[in-house]
Amino acid sequence: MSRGTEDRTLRLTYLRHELRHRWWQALATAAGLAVGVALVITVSAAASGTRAAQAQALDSLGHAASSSAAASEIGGAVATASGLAADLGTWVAVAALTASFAFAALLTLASVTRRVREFGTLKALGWSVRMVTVQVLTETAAVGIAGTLAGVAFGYAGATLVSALGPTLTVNVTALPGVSPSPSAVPGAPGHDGAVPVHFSAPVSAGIVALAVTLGILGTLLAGALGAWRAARLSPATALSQIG
Amino acid sequence: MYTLTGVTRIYRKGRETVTALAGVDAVIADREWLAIQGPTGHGKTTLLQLLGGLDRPTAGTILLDGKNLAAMNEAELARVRAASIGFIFQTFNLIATLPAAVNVELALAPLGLDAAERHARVAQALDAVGLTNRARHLPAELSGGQQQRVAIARALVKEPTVLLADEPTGNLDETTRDDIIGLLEKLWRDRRLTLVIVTHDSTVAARAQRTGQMRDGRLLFNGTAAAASDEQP
Repeated sequence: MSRGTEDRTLRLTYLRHELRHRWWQALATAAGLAVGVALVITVSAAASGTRAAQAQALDSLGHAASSSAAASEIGGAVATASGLAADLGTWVAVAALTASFAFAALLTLASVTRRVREFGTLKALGWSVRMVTVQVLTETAAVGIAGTLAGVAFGYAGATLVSALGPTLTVNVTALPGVSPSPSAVPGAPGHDGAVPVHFSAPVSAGIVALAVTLGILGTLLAGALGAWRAARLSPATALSQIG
Repeated sequence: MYTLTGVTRIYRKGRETVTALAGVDAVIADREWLAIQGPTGHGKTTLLQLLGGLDRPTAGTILLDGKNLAAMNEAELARVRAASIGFIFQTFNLIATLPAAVNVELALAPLGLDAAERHARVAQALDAVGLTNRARHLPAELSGGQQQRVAIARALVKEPTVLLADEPTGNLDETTRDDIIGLLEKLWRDRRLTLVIVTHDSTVAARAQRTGQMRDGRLLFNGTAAAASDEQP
């Protein structure tokens, strides 16, 4: 068996024991990431659903309005309100993701700082800077991948919940005086009173999931790399002299 | 064999400079047991770290079997530490989350051995320190003496030529201290090691073949700073 494979076996043993004994910290980091990723997916799905509902409502209004000017005015108002909601959702998602990455990065750095002496010991045993770096990155990536995947699952669940609880909107149309409905007119058509139901759903797009997963894993690796860099740049003598 | 010439280590903290070692000259023969004593803050641990390639001197040369540790980069020093030098620390420095056997096995990670050989060597090392039945125990489940035995197994599992110990009995009671020193003496003889121990304990120092005193960053043998290669046993 190759050296790389053998190193990996020992590395994974190390990882397994670390996660088993520091599970609370790994759980906190993974949970923080999961919340961020789940919010991105859910909020993006909700925003997407809002845009779809808006399009559906505009379509109905376009049919119902007696003049194109009125349709345009009403449609513009709905679009503005809907756009504001979607923008707000995007900012909430970005803020959640940023907060969750910052949380994961802080926990990772705190963990590395607490373990500086441990890394100094590894270096005294002959571990190279690369070996220490890879170990820290492996641990961080494991937690990051678990947190991100949990976030995807929670995100799907959140989007499903939003779809289930989302209201069915109704666009009420009243016929304008002097406009006669055509015999084949459907409710909402010009001159025809009626209510057009607009169903709200929050569809999860594969693109958003891919983006959230990429950002989640990249963000975690970035935090891990920062921690690993801090761990690796210390001289063994300095690391060993740290209290803790 | 170690040959130290004019080894100086100066630490800088802002505008302040601290001279930890002020031109140490010494020869440590192969298979010698040297004890280094001296007051706290006079450079004992710094000297041990330089001997182990954990740090580099500000000036001077440290030849280990003809290779100058002072001129090596971190990657080269890591290779020397991995292959030739074992460390024992006062506070044991075992990794709290890992069982004794895995702690010992970590010392073999840089050597590229296959799993079967690693496990055989770990079993052998734990047997040599009398802890075969504690292989799966975490450090917190072991006494101080047992933890130091695991640390000794970890230091020796890679079969180094040099063993460096920084106050190895500093955290142990007298009985355990005697056990540990007895074990180190046996391993030193059996494995033909070069053993350098930093200690405050005169009982421990008295067991060594030769004792040096660190004073103000200088290593003195019989009150002089001579390299004293003719004093070797």
